[in-house]
Amino acid sequence: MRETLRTRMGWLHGWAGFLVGLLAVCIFMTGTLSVFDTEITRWMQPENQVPANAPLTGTALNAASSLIHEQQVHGASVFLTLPSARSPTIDVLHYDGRQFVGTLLDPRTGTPVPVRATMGGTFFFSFHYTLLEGTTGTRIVNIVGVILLVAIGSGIVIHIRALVPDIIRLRLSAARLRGWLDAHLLVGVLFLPFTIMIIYTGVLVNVGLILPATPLTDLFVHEKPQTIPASDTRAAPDIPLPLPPLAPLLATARNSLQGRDAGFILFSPDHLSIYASDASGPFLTRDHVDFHLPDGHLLGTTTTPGHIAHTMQVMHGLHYARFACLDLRWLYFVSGLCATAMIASGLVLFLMKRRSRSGHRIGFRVGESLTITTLTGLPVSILAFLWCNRLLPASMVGRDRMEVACFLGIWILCTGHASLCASGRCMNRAWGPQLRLIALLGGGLPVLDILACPRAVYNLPAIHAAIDGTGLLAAVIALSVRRRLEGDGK
Amino acid sequence: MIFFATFLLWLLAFSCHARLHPYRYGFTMLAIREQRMAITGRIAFPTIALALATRMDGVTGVLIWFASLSIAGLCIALWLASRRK
Amino acid sequence: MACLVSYPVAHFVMMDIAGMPGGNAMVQLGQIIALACLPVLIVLCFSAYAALPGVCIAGCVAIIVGLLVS
Repeated sequence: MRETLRTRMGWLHGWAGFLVGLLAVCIFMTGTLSVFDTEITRWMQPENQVPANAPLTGTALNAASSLIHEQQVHGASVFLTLPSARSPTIDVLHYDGRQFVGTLLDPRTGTPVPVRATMGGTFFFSFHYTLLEGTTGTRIVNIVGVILLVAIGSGIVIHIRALVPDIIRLRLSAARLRGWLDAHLLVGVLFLPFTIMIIYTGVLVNVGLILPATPLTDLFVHEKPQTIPASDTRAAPDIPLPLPPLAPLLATARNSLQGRDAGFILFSPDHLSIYASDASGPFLTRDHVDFHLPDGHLLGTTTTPGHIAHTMQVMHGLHYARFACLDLRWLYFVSGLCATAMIASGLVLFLMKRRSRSGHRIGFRVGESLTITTLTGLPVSILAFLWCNRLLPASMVGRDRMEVACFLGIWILCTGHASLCASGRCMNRAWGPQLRLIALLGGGLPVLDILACPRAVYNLPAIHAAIDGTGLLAAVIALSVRRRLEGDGK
Repeated sequence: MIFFATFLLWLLAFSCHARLHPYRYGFTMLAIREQRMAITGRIAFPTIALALATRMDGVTGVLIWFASLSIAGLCIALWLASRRK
Repeated sequence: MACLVSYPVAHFVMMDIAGMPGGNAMVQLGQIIALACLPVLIVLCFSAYAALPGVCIAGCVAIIVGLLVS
């Protein structure tokens, strides 16, 4: 009976894990990079050399006010993000249908900082939770999350007897399959708390998409497009109301928000709202203080009380980790990498176990080429995305779109290469060149960075060292895997 | 700072764990008294680490405690594997 | 089959909790609990299916009845 249960769970773990694992690796890899999305954006905008913790002055806030008013006159719906420890500039942003774009201002003087157009780290962030497919993508990501939790649950059932005794067991000298299995189990068990927490909280962020609070029968009713009633349509005022000085409002907001820093300001036709910073604590709230326009008198403070709301806020806070200090952010990054490695090793194990029996089948070869596309093709395209940022001219029109086109183009090429090798039944030949490409692009990243932007590397050494170092680490891992593969082939 | 303290305590806990499973991890059998000490250590070190982490950092402390568990476990597993290679 | 049985059960759990007085907070509580239950239910259903097909069929019937009644 117990063996039957283990066998059934093994089937569920293997197939559920493999089918969603291909997408899960992409979600985890980009999510891990999103831990440092702001820093990646700074790396990708080397012109922005405003030092961290530069003081915010009234002059700069007035300049931002003028700019916002000017843009509102032109009909743009803008908002303002305030400087923080991670992003030292004042950003006047609007949504262009794909991403938030706008002007960066120096917090000391209020002068615009001319930066290149780039998707920046937000590209990884939006890829992580939408797969660049909007709401449909988010729904897919949520379903992948639930199935991953199922795979983890079945994995625990399979391994339950040896879960604690074998928690630190790794046999590098054992047979190849045993070694991979040990590595999968080791990383899987040790990072289990992090993995479950990050998947559960991640699905909870957009849980309404898979568990809507409507009766199930309503799901089958075709949704009618929403029409705005004629009585609700109000003509926007021709000239927006002028903004009051922001510095005193920020001081009032800080007092009303129990000393929490302000994160961003939203502007409505007749009032403005100052929101608490996400970095002010593990509770990711949308608490805000409203001020009347144009005189700026206090309208009130909005907070979300109650234990359940606080639980939800802490779940969101744990996933986004915007409250985390640099050390904790690195721990998130390392844990994310290990969780990615756990899923990746699971994919490899699934293929290794079936190679002798089903290696000749077309389904197996498709599976293996998709695995190669995910495990090596995605890092290649991420590195190509970073290279593109340095190689494309800074003043080029539409360079942000070009970066994304390059990312997707390289990934498609990697897929084509893996598929070609799969059709010729020489899979080892597919791993090799793509691993070499990772080594080349990753190893060359620091050199390219120093050659292209020496001043930025000198002024912001920590950010550049971290991102270039990650490229180098990818190169070292790729080379060692390639050497191992060659060793196995001999 | 808290990370290093909890990391060290988890290393000690995993060392006790490895000594309690001598055949799995290639150690000699412990005497009864040493076994009792190892069992106590395996429970006490993580508890001290958790108390330390939560007292100093609240929610962040709990996250650090779990992260140090994972990373300490990984380090000791790599050391044990290289020792037996 | 396991998913077909588990998803409606998790959804019913959520809707029952969301129906309690408390407004949006209870919807959130329902979602927190239902999301935690969903993977566990799928694993349980999948493991039980081999031994207890009758129970699973009865569950399916109960869900269809529940759907029609709701």
